[in-house]
Amino acid sequence: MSALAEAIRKRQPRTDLGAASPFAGLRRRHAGTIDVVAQSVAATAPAGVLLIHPSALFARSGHLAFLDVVITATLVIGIALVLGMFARRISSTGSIYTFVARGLGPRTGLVAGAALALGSLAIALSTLTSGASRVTQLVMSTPDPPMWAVAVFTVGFGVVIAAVISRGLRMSTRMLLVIETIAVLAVIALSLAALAFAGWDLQLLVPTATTDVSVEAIMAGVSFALIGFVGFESGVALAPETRRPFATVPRALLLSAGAISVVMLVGTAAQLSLVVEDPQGASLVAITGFGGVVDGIVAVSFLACALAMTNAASRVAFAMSREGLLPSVFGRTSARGVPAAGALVLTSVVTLIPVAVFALGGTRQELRMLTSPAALIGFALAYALVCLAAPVFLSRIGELTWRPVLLAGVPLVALLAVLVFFVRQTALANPLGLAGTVAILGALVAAGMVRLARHPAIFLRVGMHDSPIDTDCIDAGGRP
Amino acid sequence: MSETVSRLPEKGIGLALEILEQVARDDRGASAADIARAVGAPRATVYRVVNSLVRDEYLVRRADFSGFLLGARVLELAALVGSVRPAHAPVVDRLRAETGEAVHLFALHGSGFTVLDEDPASPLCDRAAMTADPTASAVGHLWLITYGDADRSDRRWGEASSDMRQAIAEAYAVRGYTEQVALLAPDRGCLAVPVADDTQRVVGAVTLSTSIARLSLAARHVSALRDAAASLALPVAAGR
Repeated sequence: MSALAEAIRKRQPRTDLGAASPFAGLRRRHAGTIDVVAQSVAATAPAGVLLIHPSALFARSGHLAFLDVVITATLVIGIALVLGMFARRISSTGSIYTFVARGLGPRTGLVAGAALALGSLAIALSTLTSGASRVTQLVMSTPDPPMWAVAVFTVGFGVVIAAVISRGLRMSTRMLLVIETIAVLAVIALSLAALAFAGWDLQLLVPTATTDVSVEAIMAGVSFALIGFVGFESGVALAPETRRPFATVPRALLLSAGAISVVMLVGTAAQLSLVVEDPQGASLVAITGFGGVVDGIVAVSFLACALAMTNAASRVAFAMSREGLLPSVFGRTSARGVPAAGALVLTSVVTLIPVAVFALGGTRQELRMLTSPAALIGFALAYALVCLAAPVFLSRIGELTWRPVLLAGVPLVALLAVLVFFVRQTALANPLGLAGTVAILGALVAAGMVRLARHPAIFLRVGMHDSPIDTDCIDAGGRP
Repeated sequence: MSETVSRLPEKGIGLALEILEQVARDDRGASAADIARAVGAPRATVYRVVNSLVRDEYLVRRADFSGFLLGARVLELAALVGSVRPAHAPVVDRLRAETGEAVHLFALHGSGFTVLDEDPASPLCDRAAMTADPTASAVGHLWLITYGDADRSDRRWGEASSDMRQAIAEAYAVRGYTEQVALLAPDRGCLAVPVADDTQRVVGAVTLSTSIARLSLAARHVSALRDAAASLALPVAAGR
C-alpha cells in the first residue's frame, strides 16, 4: 500500500499545529468570490471616477488621455498578476503588508503596511468628504453649502459606515456591490445616451500630429489615472473570511482588475468623446442636463468607496494587532466575527479629521492638497514593494521560475518611474502636501520600527497569516 | 491506482497523485523544489500542480512555508486509493508471499521510472539515491539498457558513461536480469527482471531486494519473477 493510501486509511488527526488559527475570532471561510469582487470594485469607485476623472485627465493630457488609461489598465492587470502569486500561497487579512513582510522581511513589510494604510485612509477620508459635500449640495440645493452642514453629513455617513462594517462582512460587501453596480450602469447608460446624441468620434481618443507624446506627458497622465484604479486589490484582505481563499482570491483579483479596466476604458472613451465636444462644460451634465443625478451617482459611489477602504484598512490593522504591532483594540472581534472595534476607531479617524479641519476654517481643497499625494504615494509605494517582494518570496520557498521575475519586474519598473515622476512633480506644485505625506509616512514607519526593536517577539510574529490548524490536515506519519 | 487514473498523462492527475504520495512519505518540510526532484518531473510543471493541489486544499502549506502537509480533503480520495485494487496487485502480492522477500513493481519510460507498487512491509531504502543516479539501482540498469542512449530533454536520470552502459548490457545479456549489490544500502542487494510489451520493448521491472547474505540464493526466485513479469505487461503499460 502506498504512503498516501496508508495515511488516508489511518485518518490520523494532527496534534502539532494547534487547534486555533492566529486569526481566531474572525468569522472564517464563509464569503465567496462575489464578496471579494464587490469589495475590490467598490474600493476603486469606478462610477465616481468616470464622472470626474476623464475631463480632468483631458485637461492634463489632451489627446493622450485615452492612451494613459490604456497604459494604466495594463499596469494594474500586471500588479494583479503579481498579487495573485502571493494570494495563491498566503491567506492573511494583512494583504500587501503581510506579502511584503514574508518576501522582504518585517521592516520592509512595515514600510509597505504604513504606505498601504496611509493610501487607504487618505482615499477614505477624501471620498467621504467629497460624497458628503455633494449630498449636502443636493439636500440644501445650493452649490456652496455652509461648512457646518458638510461636517454634519460627514459625521452622519461616518456613523453609517461604522454600523455597516460592524454588521458583518457579507452585509458590507453585498451592499457595496448593489450600490456600485447601479452607479456604474447609470454612468454607462448616461454616457451612451449622451453619445448617441452627440455622435461617436473615436478620432478624439488617439494622439494627433500636434500632440506632445513624451515620456513626461505619459507619466503625468498615468500617475493621475492610477488614482482611479487604486483599491482594486483590497479584496485580498478578506482572504481568511472566504470559503476557499487560494481559489477565490486569485480569481476575484483578476476578475476585479479586468472588470474595472473594461469599465474604465469604455467609460473613459465615452466621457472623453463628450469632453472633447465641449472642453468647457461638465460634459455629461451639459448634454443631459442631469446635473443632480450625476452628483448623486458620484456621491453614492464615493461613499461606498469610503466604506470599502475603511473595511479593508480595518482588516490590515487586524493583522498588525494580532502580531502585537498595533494596540489590541484592532485585533478584537465582535460576536459577528468582524474587527468592529478597530473599524470604529478607523472610521472615527477618517470622519473627525475633516470635521476638525472644517472647524478650524479649512476647506476641502486644502484637505485634498494632502490626501491626493498621500493616496498616490501610499499605493504606488505599496504596489512597488509587493512587485519587488514576489520573486524574493518565491525564491525563499523554493518555487522561483523565470516567469514571475519577468511578470513582477515590468510593473516594478513602471511603478518606480511613476513614483519618482510624481514626487518630483509634487515637490514643485504642492511642496506642503508632499512634506505632509512624507512626514506622516515617516512617523508611522518610525513608530513601528521602535516597536519592532523593543519587542523581538513581535518581530518574529510579523507576516502572520491564516496558517493551517490540526483539523485542516491529516497526519501522514512522514517517514523520511 | 485504478486504470482510469493511471492512463491519464503524467502531467495531469497521475503527477498530482505522485506529488501527494511524496508528501505522504515526507511531510516534514520538503519544498516544492524537493518534490520536483523526487518525482522527477519538470519544476515549473510540479509547481503548477502543487499550487492547484493547495488551491483545492488537498495539500496545505506549513505555516513557515518550508513544505507541505496532507490536507484533510485527501480523505475524499479514499475511494480512489482504497477501494480500487489495480490489476497488478494480486500478482505482486502473490510474489511477496511466495518469495518472502521485498518485491516492488516499477514502470519505465523515456523520462525515468514510476513506482507502481512499493512493498509496504519493506519500503524502498533510498528513493532519492535511485532518482539521482541510474547506475546505483537494478531498475536504473534496466532503464540504461532500454532508454539510456536516447537523447531526451525530459530525462529523469543523469548520464552514465558508455563504458558503464556497455558493462551493464553485457552482464544483462548473460543473466537476463540486472543486479545491484550494496550500492543503495550497505547490507542490501536487489535484482530486477524486465516487464516487456508485445513488441519486446521493456516497459517496466519487477524487483526483488534482500540482504546481501541471501542475494545469491534469491536467484532461485527469478523464474517466478519472470512468470509474473509476463502477466504484468498490460497493467504496467497502463500505469506508464
